[in-house]
Amino acid sequence: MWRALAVFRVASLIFVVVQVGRTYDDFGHPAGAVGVLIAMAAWTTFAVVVQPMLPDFERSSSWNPPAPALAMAAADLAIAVATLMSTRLVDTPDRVVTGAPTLPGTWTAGAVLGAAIVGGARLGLGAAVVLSAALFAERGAFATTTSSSATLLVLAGLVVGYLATTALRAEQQMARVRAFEATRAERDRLARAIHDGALQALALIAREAAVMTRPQIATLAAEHEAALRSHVTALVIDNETALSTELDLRQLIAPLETAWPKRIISLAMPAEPVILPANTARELAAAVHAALENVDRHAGAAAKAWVLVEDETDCVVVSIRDDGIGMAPNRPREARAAGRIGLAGSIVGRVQSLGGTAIVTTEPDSGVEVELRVPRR
Amino acid sequence: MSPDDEATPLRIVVVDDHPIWRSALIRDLEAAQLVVVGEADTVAKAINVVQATRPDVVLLDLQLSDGSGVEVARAIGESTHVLVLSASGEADDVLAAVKAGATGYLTKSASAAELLDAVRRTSRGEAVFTPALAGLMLGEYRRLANHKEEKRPLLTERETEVLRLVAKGLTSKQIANRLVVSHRTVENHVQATLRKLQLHNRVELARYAMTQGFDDAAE
Repeated sequence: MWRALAVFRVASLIFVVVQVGRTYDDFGHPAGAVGVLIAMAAWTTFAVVVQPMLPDFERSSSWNPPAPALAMAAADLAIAVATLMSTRLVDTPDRVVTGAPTLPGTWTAGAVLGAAIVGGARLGLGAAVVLSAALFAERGAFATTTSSSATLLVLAGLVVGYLATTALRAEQQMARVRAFEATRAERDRLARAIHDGALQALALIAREAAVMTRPQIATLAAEHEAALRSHVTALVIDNETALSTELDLRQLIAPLETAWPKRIISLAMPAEPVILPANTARELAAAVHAALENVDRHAGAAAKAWVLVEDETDCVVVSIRDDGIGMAPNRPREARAAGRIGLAGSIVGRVQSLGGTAIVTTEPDSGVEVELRVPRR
Repeated sequence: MSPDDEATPLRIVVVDDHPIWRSALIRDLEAAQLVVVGEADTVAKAINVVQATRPDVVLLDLQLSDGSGVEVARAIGESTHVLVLSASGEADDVLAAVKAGATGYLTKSASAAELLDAVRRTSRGEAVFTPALAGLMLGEYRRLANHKEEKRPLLTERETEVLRLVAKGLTSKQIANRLVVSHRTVENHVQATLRKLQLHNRVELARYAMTQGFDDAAE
């Protein structure tokens, strides 16, 4: 935008010079007019070079403009008003009253545009109002041509200010997205490096320790492998959940694999994201967590658990199975009666509040299987 | 195990870029009387070694220093039994390797006993599925089912049922009991799910090559 303003300033200056050159003999003080022109050229050069280097105003609700940019806009406006008023000194009163073009002409609009760019619509409007007042003062009357010039100035100040704010916001948004992308790329790189290096090494140590019948080392390595794996998963999730109203259910389920270090939990999920509204995804993941918590508490020390996530077109199905001691089919009701509402409340209740169903199948000695089915709305 | 285990020991190629992992795997395989006929740490070496030695099973890591094991599977998968042994569960890589012709997948946290069992089954042409792989396959078939394309592979209801049970951690024996079919039938269903996907992948590649070829000719 600064470049466009610079073009406008220079072009309008050239126009003014040509204009003055054509009507040179009509001026009351031609030498004075040339002096003003030289001052204008000097200020144009200064403004074109300096203004883009000053910091922009914050376009936030708090009105806290940086002093240099504010000073620049004020000086710009003051110079514009001064050159405008100088018309009365260098030109004949006759010409002023009959509506001859002011000496700096359209060039003064540069100050309004500059203020609009630096401070948005509010500052643009303010500058336009001040300059318009100066226009009327120079003319000494409310002439039609002056009024339309003033209208154009106000319009330019508002529109350019609004556009400048929009452009700045878009730029800030872009910068945020770029920063977000960079962080994500870095975290993915880290995750990959850890997968290739540390995780593999820990798996190897666990394996070798088992061969050398050093069960403590094997357990230690396996536990650290699991812990590191869940950290890596968490790294990636942090990023994804930050900005969105929809979530990939897989990313909420993934950390559950290692949430119970002593328990072997196997996850089976599609390769594609399973996108659900953020709240649905969180609630469903919480229900799965509760189901696994249930396995950990009641299925027995040796029981393993399997979680299967399936993305049907109109619903998402999550099955949690264990090979533990199982329970008599009427156990869930008993559990609720006994105040242990794990299965009934935090699993079935959650899923039902999402408009879904939870089916629990169990036999003594063949584990428990919970199937959660949540519609996709 | 199969009757020819005694007569002719299985010949294995180990592909892994981690030297200590490689030697640990080789030690475990040799301790079980299998013969390791070659090893490699890069994609290029792996393809050469496999073509030179024609092993019964290639034990393939997906993370190699000069690329992905998927490229190895693509190059040799049609003629050799490939068992993927990977540290990460990178879903896309695993799926790509299986589509390229690998018939089994294990994670590196598998025990030596599980590994040996998987190698033997792979050598007999059986599919070695982890529940995680079954979950990926179910997802892939679901994705294909949503495509408009006519020649896409679809699972029968029975195959879907079997794959779901594998994903839920049931062994093929348990699945056979639950569905009241023979163990062999279950194996056939599992293999069918794999074969359809690999066949489809080959057709897709051929079609892609053809359209690319025509485009090049037109230019």
